[in-house]
Amino acid sequence: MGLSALAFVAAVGMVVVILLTLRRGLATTAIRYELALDLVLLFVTVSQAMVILLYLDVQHPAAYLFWARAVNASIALSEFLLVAFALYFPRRIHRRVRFAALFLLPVAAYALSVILGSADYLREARFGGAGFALTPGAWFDWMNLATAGMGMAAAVIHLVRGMATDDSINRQRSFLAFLGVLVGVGGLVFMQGYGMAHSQETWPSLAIPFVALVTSVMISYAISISRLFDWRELLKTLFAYLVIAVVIGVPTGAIVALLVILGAGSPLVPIVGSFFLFIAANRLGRNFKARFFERLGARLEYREMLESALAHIDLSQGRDAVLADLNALLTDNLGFSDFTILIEDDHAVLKTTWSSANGHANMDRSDLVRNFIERTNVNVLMLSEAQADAAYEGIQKELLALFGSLKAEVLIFAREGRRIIGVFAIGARKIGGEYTDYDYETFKAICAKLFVFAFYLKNVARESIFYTVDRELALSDQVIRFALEHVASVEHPRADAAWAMRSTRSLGGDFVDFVKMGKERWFFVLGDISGKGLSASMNMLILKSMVRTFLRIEKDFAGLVQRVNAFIKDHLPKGSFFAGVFGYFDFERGILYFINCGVPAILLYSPSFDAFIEVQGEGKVLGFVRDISPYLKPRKISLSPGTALVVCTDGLLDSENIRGERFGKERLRKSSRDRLQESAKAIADGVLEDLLRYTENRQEDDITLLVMKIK
Amino acid sequence: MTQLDIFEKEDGDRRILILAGPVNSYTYTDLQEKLMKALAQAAFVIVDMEKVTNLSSAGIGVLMAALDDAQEAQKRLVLLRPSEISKLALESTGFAERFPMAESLREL
Repeated sequence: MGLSALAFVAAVGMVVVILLTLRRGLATTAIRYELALDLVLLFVTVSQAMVILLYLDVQHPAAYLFWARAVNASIALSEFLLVAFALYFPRRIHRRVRFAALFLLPVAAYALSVILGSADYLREARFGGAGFALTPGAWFDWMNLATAGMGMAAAVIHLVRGMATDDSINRQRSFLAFLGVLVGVGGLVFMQGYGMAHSQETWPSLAIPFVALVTSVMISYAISISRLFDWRELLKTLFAYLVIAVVIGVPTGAIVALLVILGAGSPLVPIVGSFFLFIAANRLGRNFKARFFERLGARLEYREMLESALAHIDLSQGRDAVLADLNALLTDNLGFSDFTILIEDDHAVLKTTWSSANGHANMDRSDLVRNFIERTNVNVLMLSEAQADAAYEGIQKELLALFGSLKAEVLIFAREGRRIIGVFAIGARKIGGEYTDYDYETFKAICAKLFVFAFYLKNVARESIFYTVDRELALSDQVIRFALEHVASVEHPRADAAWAMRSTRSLGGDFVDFVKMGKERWFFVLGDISGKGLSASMNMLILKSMVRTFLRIEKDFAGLVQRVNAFIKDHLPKGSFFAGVFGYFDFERGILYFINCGVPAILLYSPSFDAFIEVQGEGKVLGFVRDISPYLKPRKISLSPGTALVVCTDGLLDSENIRGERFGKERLRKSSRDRLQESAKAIADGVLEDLLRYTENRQEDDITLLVMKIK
Repeated sequence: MTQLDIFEKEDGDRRILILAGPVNSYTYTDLQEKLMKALAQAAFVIVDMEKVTNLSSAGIGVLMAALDDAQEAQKRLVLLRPSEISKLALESTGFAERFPMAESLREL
């Protein structure tokens, strides 16, 4: 019964593999053959479990004979399926070879009919005495040898294809498939042979399901991978676990053994002791692993250094110098040979802007690859993925052509929302090495920073700019103008909304943005990213873009703010923080949900009190602590008809007159109250007028003001 | 006052930066440079902010980054006698309590 249960465990493993295959989709013939193979191996696994179960409980020779034949026929069928799979994986083999292989079909049909129905294969299956005994027919060994030969042929095909292919990912996948087939065929042949020679032993029957499972897992894995192994990471992990096993595992085991001895027959002491011991060992192991990895990784990992260096490239030095710096930085860290940048021009065509390798491509709005990528959330695409991932099967030819024309192995896409505004094409490494999972994660990590450069090249670094006297001011002005021009306005019959922004010559990072989330719901964000100059303006733009990106993927309001906080902390230059407010207007229910993250004033005019009241509460800026969640306090206020909302950044309240007195909340209240009967735009403009009159047109900081009146 | 004066002083193994004037978008780079240098050289850095007349977001950013660096390097950074306007600016972040502060050198 125990053996049978273990075989069923293997069957559950097979079912998981099948479900994962179905989840990936049956996009290619190779995957369809894999599914067929998995189903046959599942049948073998379940059959073996049933044979063991029945063997122990009842005696039905005819049924056993049927089961034995069915299992052997399934094993034979799996060998033929392995050959078929080998002809289609990693890519379909030449049509002539596939045509020639069709002769296997009648051979397979004949072999299966013999195994299933002929006494020349198997005459009797008996279950008596101590074990499981077959009485083979004259063709038993030959037939098994021939079908195993099919499996071995499949293994050889994978090996040869792996050695013959030029691309590393498919070589790796072929070798993995080779290993999987080798384990499967070798294991099954051995178990069948061993089972015959030692009929009193039942473990070969148990081993067959596990061999089938291992084969299935390895083949499934070979299909699913589309990036090269990071061998360094793998070895590091194995080594770390080995050390943990020796340093923590062995002593823990020894203490448990000691507890058993001390328990003197009572199970209570070892059970309770082990429970606490394992919790302590687990915690110790985790800490140890974290520190161990830190030390191991210190010398080899370049991600943080690259991120930091990218953030410090001075954009105000001009286009050519920026491009030279970017190229030098990426080349030094990644050691690649070719680098090409495509940037969207005024006609929405992605064109080569700069290339160290004569890489050229033009992608207009109708381009197949561009359309395909824009429909996905992919920001980094490796050549290996284009070659191996079934998701790109339909567009593989065009994608590979793009990689070829750009001489690239990695494409990094800079997006505004879904739209691609730039492509960074990175070529092969100069000295042998391949891009690994670690590199892939690094590319993902620097994506947001490369967006800055794409934006800069698309919108800022125009030739005419270089003739301006104060380049940084001019560049930053462009960034701010761009940000202002791309704010959607709130259009709802119940709302009259307007905003005003006035930037100073010192250039800051104030921004406001609205996003329509549905017929009745609008999202807004208003605030100030710290710092001044071009870098602050660029940070503001990145943040604005990221907020829109996070809105697409994060449904939870607090979760969205947490993501923004993490982004600032991890990706913007050290010391950057955002003081602002995030809110949702739900006009259907007349409610505003908001989270104050450091905005100094949110004033709500209540018709019942005929006064503006402060509702901002406490707010914590984003980007200061890594985990902002304990500090977030979502609030909810009702927006009945007649209410008005005024939100502003600190620049407005902190503006001083010639005597050094702040404009402050009271003046803001009064200025807004005096114009309450006017439109939201008139209120916003009027407050700014009052402010400038008060400061005698002096302005030290950026000012952003949002006014919303509910009808 | 539109200029930020920064005086540097050594007090045993402590480095003291005395600030006088506004820390804003025009002056923060100087503070950034000197503060980073001090943190690289000393294990304990004190920033005397008694005479700071304005602390803008750019200035707060410099202090935040310096605090992060100090914590990562297991060094100490303390703000000494911050002026009222500096305190208000730090409080506006909601994280004023995170900045180690002291009212006199004797406390340290």
